[in-house]
Amino acid sequence: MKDVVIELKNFNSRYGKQEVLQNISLTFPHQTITAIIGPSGCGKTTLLRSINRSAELESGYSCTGDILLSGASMFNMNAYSVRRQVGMVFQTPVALPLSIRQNVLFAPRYYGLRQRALQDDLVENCLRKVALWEEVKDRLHKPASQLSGGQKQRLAIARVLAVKPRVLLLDEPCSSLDPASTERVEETIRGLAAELCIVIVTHNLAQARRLANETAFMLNGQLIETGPTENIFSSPKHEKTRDFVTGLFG
Amino acid sequence: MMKPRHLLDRLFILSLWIAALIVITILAAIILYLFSKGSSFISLDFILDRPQGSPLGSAGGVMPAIMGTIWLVLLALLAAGFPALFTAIYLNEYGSQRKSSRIMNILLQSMASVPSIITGLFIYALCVVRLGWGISLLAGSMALALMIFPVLVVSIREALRSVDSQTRLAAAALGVSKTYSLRRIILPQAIPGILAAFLLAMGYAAGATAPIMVTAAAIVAPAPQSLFQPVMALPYHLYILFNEHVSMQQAYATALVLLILLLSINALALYLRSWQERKQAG
Amino acid sequence: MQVLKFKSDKVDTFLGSLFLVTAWASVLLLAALLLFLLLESWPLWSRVGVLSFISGQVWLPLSAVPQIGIAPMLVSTLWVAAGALVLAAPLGLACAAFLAEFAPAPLTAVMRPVLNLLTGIPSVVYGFLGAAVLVRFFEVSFDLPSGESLFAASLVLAIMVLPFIVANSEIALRSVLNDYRHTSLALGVSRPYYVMRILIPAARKGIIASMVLAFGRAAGETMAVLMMAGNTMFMPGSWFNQGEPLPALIALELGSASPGSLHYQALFAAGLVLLVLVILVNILLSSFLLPKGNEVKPF
Repeated sequence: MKDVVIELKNFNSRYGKQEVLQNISLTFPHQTITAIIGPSGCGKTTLLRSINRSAELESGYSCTGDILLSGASMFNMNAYSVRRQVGMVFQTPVALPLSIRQNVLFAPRYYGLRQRALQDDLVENCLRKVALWEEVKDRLHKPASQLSGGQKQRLAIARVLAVKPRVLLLDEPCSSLDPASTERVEETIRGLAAELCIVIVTHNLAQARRLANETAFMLNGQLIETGPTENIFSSPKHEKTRDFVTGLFG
Repeated sequence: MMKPRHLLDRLFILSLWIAALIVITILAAIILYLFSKGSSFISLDFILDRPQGSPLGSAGGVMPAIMGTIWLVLLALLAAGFPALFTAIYLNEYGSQRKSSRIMNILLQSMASVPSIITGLFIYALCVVRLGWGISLLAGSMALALMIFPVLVVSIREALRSVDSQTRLAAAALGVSKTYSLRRIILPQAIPGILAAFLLAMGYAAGATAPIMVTAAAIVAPAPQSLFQPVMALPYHLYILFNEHVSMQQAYATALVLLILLLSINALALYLRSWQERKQAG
Repeated sequence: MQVLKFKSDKVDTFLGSLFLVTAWASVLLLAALLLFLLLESWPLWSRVGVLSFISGQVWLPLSAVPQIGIAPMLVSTLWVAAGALVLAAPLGLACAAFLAEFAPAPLTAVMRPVLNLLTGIPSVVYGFLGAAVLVRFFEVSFDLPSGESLFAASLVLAIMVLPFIVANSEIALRSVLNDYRHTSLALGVSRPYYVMRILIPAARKGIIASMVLAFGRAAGETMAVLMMAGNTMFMPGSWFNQGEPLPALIALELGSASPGSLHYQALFAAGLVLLVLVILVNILLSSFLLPKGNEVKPF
């Protein structure tokens, strides 16, 4: 059994009066890709954003229960440092309004990376991990806004990798990409699983099946079933899971 | 049989066209009229000379008034600039989710609606009388600073708000602090808009008459030499030229100088703002 | 490869609190302003009384037996501002509807920046032109001894507030959901019908807000009324009488009132009345009309 990196314990959250997550208990192991599937509005995104503690940036959000990061409650840690260790990539590709190089260096510079040589190494290293290096190595100083959607999304992953996270959260990272870009992003994710704990939210069941070792199915803010991906898709225990993975609703 | 309302519809559209035409005509007429009346009296001498003749101002130019206005406006910007920038940053980046910011918004809106003569009245009591500065450049610029503060806050905040919130979220999710993403991402993006805000405030201050009338303005004064002396200012000079029946020609010329000054400042501000919007969109 | 240090960001905390403190300190200047006006006018309130100050018809603060009432000035203020609104509101709303719904795109692209630009013309220029052209016109064509009147002042104020009404009403109209238009037009009704039945009613809060803001602006405006209303202290009986709105009274008399005198106190009391009037209008506005979180409109 691999080490557990993230563990949710009876986690509940709400926006104002509206309950979004109810009593979620779930673990995410190291070097594993976990897919979270479920119909839209079931709380998948809120779950991810809670784990990154960026849900707190929105008004009306509150939560109970606990989330452990490597065994320690993340609510006792500094929120900035949690966000650093638990990287998150959003649905819409966002290129910060800086050059490609500065996008990667954005957070490392904040955390005190000043030496030029180390910076160069880091940029190359991170861009290689997302297979973007060959495409952009001659225009590192050009604005990142010139990149295509798929490239921006891979840049977003590189930007997260640059601060050495332990967890990578991906919120429907391919939903706004074309099939070719989707394939490249998926390859990137698969490659990263060797060193990270990865959680991907997707509404694309085929993608979950292609990528994930583990799959969790959520419905109306509750965790219905979780297990190895093959089991979830081929022999689900719950009727609702079966209905969902066979396309009866969703 | 249902009756189509073609006639009514046409009348409706026609009346809207007429309304728009009337508005544009009135406003265009004002500008064109001023140009036609004033342009023949404007010369380089008029701009560079000081008021001459008897009654004073019936000949000569408006240089001391231009200088006075420039000083008043710059000092006002200096006084109001940083507080306004900080307030806007607080409201947009820190306080937007708090209840207290709703109260602050109401206060700010009330501040924006304070008539400029009241601002003048307040500064008169506080600076001119209580602090003993007398009718002076400094008192006048304080009155203008107080007047432009809410306008500055609102337009700086508008500039900050136009920075994409996805960008903000992406930066925050990387675990960097608020001030860091402010400095690296948000402020650089908002700079054209912030500049536009300062320009708009400059124009607003340069045209204001009532607050300086009671705190700073003199009928005749040299170009400013001390913070504690009264100064001339273009808008007040215009008021005096007309109201004291000094010279209609000079009044038209002064009005035109003021108008050109303010329209160019405003045009530059609007250009910067639309530039930022286009940059954000692209 | 490298060490990422955890930052306990003292700078961040410091700047955060700096922003907070500056913001509150600046905004609370408003309270200081109110307090100061109250302080400077305090003796007068106990001597004259609020009611008789507001309803008093005679303003003779310097006579042996001083009489202090601002009713004529208060009425002039309200009259001039309401008059300006009556003149500007229909025109402004029509123009906004035109821009939002009917104007050809190239025309909108020209008109909107031009209207924006015109908000930069200072009131003294409007006042000067009004006094030099409009007042003269009334004198010549109606054979009046003096063309100055509340009406003349309203007319110029109306032109001044027009661009603001158009801009703010247009924003209100544009913020109405596009779906309504598609749904309505798909039913086969005409655009004017849609505008009258759906668009304007849906945007009414924003439209009324733009009118109220314009009223406040007109009531507080100094230069145009100073130069055009005639500056006589009688109770105006009609729109075509002369009058002296409160801002003009303060602007004209402040310089000659010696600090601490009854006259001085009375001017601050008049200022306080004007300020309370305008702020009340705004507070009503923000609590009833503007949706939560709506931004402040500076003008």
